[in-house]
Amino acid sequence: MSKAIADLDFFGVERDTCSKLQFQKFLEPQKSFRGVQGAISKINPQLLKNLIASGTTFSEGNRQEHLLSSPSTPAVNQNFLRTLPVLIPVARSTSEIPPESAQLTIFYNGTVRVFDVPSDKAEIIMNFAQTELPAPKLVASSSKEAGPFDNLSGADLPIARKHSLRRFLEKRKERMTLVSPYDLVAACGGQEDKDSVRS
Amino acid sequence: MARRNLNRVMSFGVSDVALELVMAYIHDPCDRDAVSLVCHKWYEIDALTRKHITIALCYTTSPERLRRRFQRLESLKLKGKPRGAMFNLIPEDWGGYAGPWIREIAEGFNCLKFLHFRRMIVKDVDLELLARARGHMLHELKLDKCSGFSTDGLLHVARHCRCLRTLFLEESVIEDRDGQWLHELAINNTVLETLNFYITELNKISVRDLELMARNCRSLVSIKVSDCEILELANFLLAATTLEEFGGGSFNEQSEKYCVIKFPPRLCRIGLSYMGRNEMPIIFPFAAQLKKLDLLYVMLDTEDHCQLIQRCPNLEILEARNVIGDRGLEVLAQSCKRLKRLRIERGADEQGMEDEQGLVSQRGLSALAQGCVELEYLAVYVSDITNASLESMGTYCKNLSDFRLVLLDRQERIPDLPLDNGVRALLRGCEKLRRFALYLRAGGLTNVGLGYVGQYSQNVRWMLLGYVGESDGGLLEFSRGCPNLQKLEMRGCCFSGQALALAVLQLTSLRYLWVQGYGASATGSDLSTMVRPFWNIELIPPRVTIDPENQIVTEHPAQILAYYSLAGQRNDHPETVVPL
Repeated sequence: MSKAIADLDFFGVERDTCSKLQFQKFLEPQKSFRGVQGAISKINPQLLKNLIASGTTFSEGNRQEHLLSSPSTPAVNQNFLRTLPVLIPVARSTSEIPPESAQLTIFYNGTVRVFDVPSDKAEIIMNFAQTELPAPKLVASSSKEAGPFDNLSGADLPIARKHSLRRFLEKRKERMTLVSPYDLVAACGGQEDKDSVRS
Repeated sequence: MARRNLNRVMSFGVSDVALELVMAYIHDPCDRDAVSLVCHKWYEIDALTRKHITIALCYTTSPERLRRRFQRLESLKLKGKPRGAMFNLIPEDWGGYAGPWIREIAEGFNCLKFLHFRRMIVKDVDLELLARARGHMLHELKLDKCSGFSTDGLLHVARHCRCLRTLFLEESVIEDRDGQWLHELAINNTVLETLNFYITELNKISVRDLELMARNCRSLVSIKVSDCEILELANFLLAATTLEEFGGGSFNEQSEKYCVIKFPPRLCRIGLSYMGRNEMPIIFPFAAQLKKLDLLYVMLDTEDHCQLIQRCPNLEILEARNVIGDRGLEVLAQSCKRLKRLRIERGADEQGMEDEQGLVSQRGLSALAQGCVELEYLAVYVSDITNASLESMGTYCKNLSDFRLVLLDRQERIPDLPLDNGVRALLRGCEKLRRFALYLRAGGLTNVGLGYVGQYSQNVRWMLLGYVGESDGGLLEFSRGCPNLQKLEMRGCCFSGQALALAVLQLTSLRYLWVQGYGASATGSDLSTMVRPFWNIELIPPRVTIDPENQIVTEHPAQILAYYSLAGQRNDHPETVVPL
């Protein structure tokens, strides 16, 4: 699990924006930090997931230990007053970047991260970050791509499959494909059910 | 002086030696717990004479505390990750490290002979340390659904643990570097009785080593292997004349070739992976003496199951997928009157991958209830269910101590919901019930029904509840009952964090709670009601995982884990776990 906090400094290029970082003004999504992005290296999207996860857990009045800080001394975890992450959709302001995958820059509590994210995911993330608490819950989706973060109603959690059974069903499918690939397609009616999704 | 008088009074004048001898006959942990609370003297004698400890969650105490109290321990079982780990719900690095325990064992526990780690992370260095320090004494080592080690670690075990009777690795995730470990085991050990590497990917082994083992270990009773070709095991099966249990293997050749396979004469527990209809007859010669049959990983349809089961009148344990169907259960009810344990797992959902008859419903359950009255354990995935079938269970299956029912979600409408009355009847009828799982859907159990669960589960120690109740009121009513509920797992229920916290405070025996999916705001402030001394609360916030092989993105809702602990908050958790 990546523990890196992006420890890149803001450069003198954006000196006045640097001082504003600590304040709420950065909630305005229209600000563009194009000048900074070129100097910032890309970071593992896993951090994005952690960030989103941290965004859903934290509330206004009850800050918990930040996910990305190491659980070392209690003194480290004093800064509980966190704002929601600021999402700067660089993709919106630069039309030359193809819509499939664009840079998403996130300024959060003195750190900067840049991700390569498809535009639909960026939409999801932005909507999510701007939602007022209580934070919407994730839906355990049964489709291949990550669905929107809907409110969790009881019925949306699919029945989890036991790992051992799932492995067997996967292996069986492989065996049947090897033996008679065309029969398998006919038998399944062309409908692919990814058992591993139902978790 | 007063203390000595108290001790004497409590001991009724019985000497310490006599006390020790008497206590040696007390095995039940609850009895032992009571005994240890009488007075200091009895506490000490219990500590000296207790042979086995199960620590249901390794973070509830520390290795040092265990050693301080039970220095002469002979048998230890430790469990790590929550049960959800078996369903891919828990991050792999959640915790449950065997390391600290093994280090303590290496230093202190001089009498330890039996060691069982379940759902824990074990490293090669841990195994090496254990093998070198305790190898000369170790009789049993079970690495049960563990991960984090490789065949190099097993090599240390094989080299140094020469009096091992049992090596159990089932369902562990092991890095398969080579088959040396099995070779070392075969040449170093003559007393091995049980070897299990079933449901592992340990495929670099040589079958010659199994044959060598069969010749060297004249007490070999149980062998369960990974997906080795059965034909290659022919010689092994001939050599292992004392074998009573065999599991695993696979069938990759033409069916006709398998008629040469001869099984050991005393074989009474069997499970052959990927066995198809054409290979099935190789079991027929000894089907009548079978006590345990594992059909979880076979390639049989409903009719095949019927054909096989009717030849097994002495069956006591059966495991199968729901392809067994209602018809298979009817055959079971007619043929297997001695059945004690039945587990029916969920098969594939895809069209055409399983028999269309491969569904279990109230029809099969009712037949089962009346036919197999000695049933003690039943776990079943059903496609349809009625109150009447649950009432049947309560009426006929008086020995039931473990009942688990999951209602699958394929059939859109289940006419006989809610199951309030059936559940009540089952709980009232099955007085010996200690473990209970009910996984339904919206409308499956009302608040009244959930109240029944609380009211009529006096002896239940563990419960898994999925999609039950309608609102917080149901949970609160439920939590007024369940006097002996120690461990509660809930999934997909609609209760608020507040209600959960209140319920926790009301459930007098509760020491462990796991919840995934709950209503209202999923924040720590909701749960603050249940903050109390020695009660650890951990959140696993919502997260997203990607399966790189299949490009599947899965979203996991938040989870709460809470448990009593004498060891304080743990400090080895990953980023995905947030202690409160």
